Amino acid sequence: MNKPAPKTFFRLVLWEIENCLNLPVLSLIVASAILAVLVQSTSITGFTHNYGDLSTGARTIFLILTFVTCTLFSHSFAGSFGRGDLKRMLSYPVKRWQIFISKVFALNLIIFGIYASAYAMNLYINAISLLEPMFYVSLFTIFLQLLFVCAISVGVSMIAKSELISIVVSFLLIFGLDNAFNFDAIFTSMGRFSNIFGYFAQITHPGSLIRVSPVPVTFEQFTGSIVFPLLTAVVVLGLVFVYFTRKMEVD
Amino acid sequence: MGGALTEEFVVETFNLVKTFGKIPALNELTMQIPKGISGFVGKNGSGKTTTIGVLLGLIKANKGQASMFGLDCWKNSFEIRQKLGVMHETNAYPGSFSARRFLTHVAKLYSITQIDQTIDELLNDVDLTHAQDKPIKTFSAGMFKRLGLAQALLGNPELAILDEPTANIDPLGRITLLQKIKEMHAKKGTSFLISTHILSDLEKICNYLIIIDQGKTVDQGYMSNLTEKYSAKIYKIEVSNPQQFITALQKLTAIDKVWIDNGKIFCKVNDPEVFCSEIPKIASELKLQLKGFQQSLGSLEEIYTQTVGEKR
Repeated sequence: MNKPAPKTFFRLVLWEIENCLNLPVLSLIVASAILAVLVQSTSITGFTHNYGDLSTGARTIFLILTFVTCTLFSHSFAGSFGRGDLKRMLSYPVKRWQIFISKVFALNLIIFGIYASAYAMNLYINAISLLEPMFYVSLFTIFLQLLFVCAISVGVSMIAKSELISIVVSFLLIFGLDNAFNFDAIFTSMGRFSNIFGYFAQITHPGSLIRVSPVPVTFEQFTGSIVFPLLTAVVVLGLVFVYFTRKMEVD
Repeated sequence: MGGALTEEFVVETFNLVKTFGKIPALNELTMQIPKGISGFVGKNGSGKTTTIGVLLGLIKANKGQASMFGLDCWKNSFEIRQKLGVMHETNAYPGSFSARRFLTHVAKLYSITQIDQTIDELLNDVDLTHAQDKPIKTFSAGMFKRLGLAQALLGNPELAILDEPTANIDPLGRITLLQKIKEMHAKKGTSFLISTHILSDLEKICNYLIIIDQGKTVDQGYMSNLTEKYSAKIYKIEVSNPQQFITALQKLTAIDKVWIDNGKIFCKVNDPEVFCSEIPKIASELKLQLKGFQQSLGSLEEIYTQTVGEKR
């Protein structure tokens, strides 16, 4: 008998990444990320060549990021039921938690990597310094949105167990939330972005006239914008993790 | 059978019950599978794949016990899978990977030390050396199955479970695959559990057989014992005029069923002693030449028909 693989988790992460990089749609995903960033160049206001440009195309970025994330996570989780991938993986000497965590970790890494790289083009296009703190704040909001959508997609995938249904339901759920609340509500992706971006802008650029949010952002709005997606991700992914590792049946 | 499951058998189940909603899939299934090549037979929907799912720890049974190598299938699934190789019915392999790349990934999960050498050997064994660098999505059905066999055997398992290994492949591909299974068993001593409904495949390689129907074991045992058991009631008669002879036979109460196959008469009897004494008499009365009269060595198909067919 072979000994249990101590590095199984990392091998699964690499496998998942390689699997994802071999996806025929990957080039489209990269193109979508670049497009999402470049779309701001069509803005009628033009560039201001300062940190304010980082927030110009946020709505488009979040919209495309949400769709891409829903698609990839649904493909990886819900799709693995239909294709039989999960059944095959669970026949190898790997633990269920290793499969679950490696999928979540690898996909988040890939999507964040693609979007962060594409978003970094902003620095070049808008002649913004690499040391601009608002660039990193923007990346943080992208990461939060990614985690939030990841949790929703994985949760829906486990219930639907159908790739197509999971994509549609997850997207409609998140898109519905975005449209059901006010612009600055913590339940909407743009609300969270403007609260976090605006709050940090008030601190890092106190005298600036650039306003992402129409009114000054309060500390409560700022913390709520961070806590809501994080809490959703922890609760949903936690519940799914317990189900995946202890209860889930694959037939 | 109590809590302790013996190590004499590689697989043991006791009164397994599994329902999906209100639909029963397994109905107190009890079976024991020894080392060697075993066949797992049943018609579509009889519960074969569900049983395999329970054995692999993919499905939790509502009631009963299932163990492999003496370990509980649900609680010790990980430990069991270290000694196990599985080939599922679906060809769920990453299509964009080459066979070698895919097997390399699998080999790493089994912590195999000499990966390249092991894969070379295995690819050679399953006749895939020529296609090792081609993307899996370009493979034919037979190549998919052989790749499935290779990945199932990669970890040098004690037992390999093959679900419908010969489904959807051409006759030559089937023969080759079965030959490979037989060779692997002889070469490495790997035990096999082959689930299929293609009976002729099993007849060629199995030494043990489990027949299930409607989620329940109908019969199980070594092929030789089963053949003897079911053949004991079947007799083959060769006479000069079978049609005339069969008319007379139908009047005998010692016979349950009589049929002609290739000019030979087959009888399923309920009282062999009376039957054997009556046959020469009938032939003599009808003045027919009795060319042959012997017990028929039942084929797997006959065993299956008698066990599952009778229940219909």
